Amino acid sequence: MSRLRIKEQIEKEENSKIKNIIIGIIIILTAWIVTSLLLKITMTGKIIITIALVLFLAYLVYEWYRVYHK
Amino acid sequence: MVDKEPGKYARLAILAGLVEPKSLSELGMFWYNENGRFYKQKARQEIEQAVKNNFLIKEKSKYRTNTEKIILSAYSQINNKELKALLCMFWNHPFSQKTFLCCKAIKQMFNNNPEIAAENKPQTILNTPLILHQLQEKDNDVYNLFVSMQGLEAYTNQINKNADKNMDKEFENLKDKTDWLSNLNKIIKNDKILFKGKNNKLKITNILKK
Repeated sequence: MSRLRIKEQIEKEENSKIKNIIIGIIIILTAWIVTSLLLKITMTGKIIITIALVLFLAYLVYEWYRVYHK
Repeated sequence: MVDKEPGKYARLAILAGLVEPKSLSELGMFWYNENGRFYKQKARQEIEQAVKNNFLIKEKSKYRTNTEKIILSAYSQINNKELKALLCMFWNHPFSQKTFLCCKAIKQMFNNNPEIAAENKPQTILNTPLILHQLQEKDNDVYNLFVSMQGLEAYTNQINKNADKNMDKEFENLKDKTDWLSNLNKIIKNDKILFKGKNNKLKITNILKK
């Protein structure tokens, strides 16, 4: 039987975007905790990694913004 | 001034031209597979009258439906201002128009039968997709039964095809899509107001009261 799929399609797309953004944020936080708190690396290394992760976070925020407010 | 009710040929021209303008020849081919059907004197007179009454807009040799007027007149009986605004906003969105009001979908709604199509009022075309969404939400079995009893399988398939085609073209971004969806959800929650009307083809008020 042919169901109308429009609602499902939009809801699926929205859920998938939100899921991807949440996964991205979790990855960033985990990576930051592992590198800055658990691994024994130099302060310069920690700063570089933190900057890289902040940039990745900024990219995710930009993606979120781009999706919802073109 | 009260607008005179359009005749059969004018109604068919209105239904076919909701999204894209069509010439008399295209209208004839579309509804009857006959080039000259809309060149008949009666058909031309009805169409000219519909142009005078502002139901159709003449663009060179083609006729486009005054969709805004059709939407407004279809919902003129609704007293709830908020619902009326939601419905107008929903139907004025290019995605809604290109998905639900494209001539192919409308033809399939009436099983390719121009005589049945001409008997129905614009409310049927506007309310059917909303009713289907509502039934699907309320009771899937009733939805399936309704679609099969009314012979709407081809129509629903066409709507899905149109939606796939227009989804990325007609929405600017995901926010636009989710706004449209939330508008649709608000409309289909208003069953008591929306589907009380007299609808000859789609007698489903009792099903919705279930």
